[in-house]
Amino acid sequence: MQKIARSGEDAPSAFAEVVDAYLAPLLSYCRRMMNQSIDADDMVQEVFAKVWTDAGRFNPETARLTTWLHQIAHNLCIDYFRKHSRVIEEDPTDQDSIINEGQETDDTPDERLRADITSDQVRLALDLLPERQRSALLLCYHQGLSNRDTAAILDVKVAALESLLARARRALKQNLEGVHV
Amino acid sequence: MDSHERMENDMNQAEFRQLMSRYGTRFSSWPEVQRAEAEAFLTEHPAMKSWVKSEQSLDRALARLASEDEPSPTDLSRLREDILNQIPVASGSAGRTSSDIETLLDQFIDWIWPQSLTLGPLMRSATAAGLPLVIGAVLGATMMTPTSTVPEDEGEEVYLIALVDDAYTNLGQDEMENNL
Repeated sequence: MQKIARSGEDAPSAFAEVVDAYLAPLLSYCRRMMNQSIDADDMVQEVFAKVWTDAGRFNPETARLTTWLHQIAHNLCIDYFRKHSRVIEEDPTDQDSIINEGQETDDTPDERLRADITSDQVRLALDLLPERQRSALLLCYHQGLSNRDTAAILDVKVAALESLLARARRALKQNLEGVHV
Repeated sequence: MDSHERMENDMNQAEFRQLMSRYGTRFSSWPEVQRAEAEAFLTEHPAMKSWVKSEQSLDRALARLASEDEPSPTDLSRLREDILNQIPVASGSAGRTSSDIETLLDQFIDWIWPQSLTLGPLMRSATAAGLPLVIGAVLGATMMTPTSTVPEDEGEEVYLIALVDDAYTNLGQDEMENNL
């Protein structure tokens, strides 16, 4: 990233290395966030345009490169939703609060998931989730980022993310019971 | 089951769910101590086993989705080309845009007041507010020209005249009277 920031002769090749390493996961994330919209491809181009211009802002001491890149992608997706009047549904629970999961769910310990669930149903159920819940699930389970990295991207504490994930999983299961493809 | 016992179960269930959120549904990736506690908990609460299974099913569904969502090599190749074509060919300062300059300015401010410091963001704002004052003072000190247009030797002459001028001092008159 320093090579890109310095804009020297080796900047384009260093940039190409970053593109090669992260294009696939970022495209996958943007497409899933934007429900396979064609705009997702433009979004990824915008992510890398920002990488080119803002490479100097990346600080390897505070974040991993993959975290920084996903953060750019996530913020651009949120900006896109705002510009295109898509309602950004907030998680109904206070984002920074740590709820007692047991109190909310002690009546439903046996939340079975149908065995014949299809990927199309999961896609639909994901798209019905509030924005933050969907982001949290995608970053952790779709992109394979750690809770710590995901918390940094969503700008919440790790404990708050864990609560968010628990709510997101529960909501996803409920959505899966309702969707029919 | 009395209320006390129910509360204990609820608490254990809450802890168990929280650990599941933290470490995932694969017990093999849990820390050893917590894994042992979780296994003991599941032995005592067999009803929770079905919940764990459903969580594991959800994980599998999400993992399957992730692998299906992987972009095709054709898409990646096309997009890669588009991305690499959009970067400016000229490198170095000639290719710098206003946003590059902003980046350099940000780096400079970050060097003075790192954002990671507790008061970093506050001090960065104060620095931004005070910067015009500092720049003004520096420009004033280095670029200001003397306002007097009187040459140095002429100034000296005016000074000597002022010393002997009666309108300003009586020194000249006193000396003349003494001499007489």
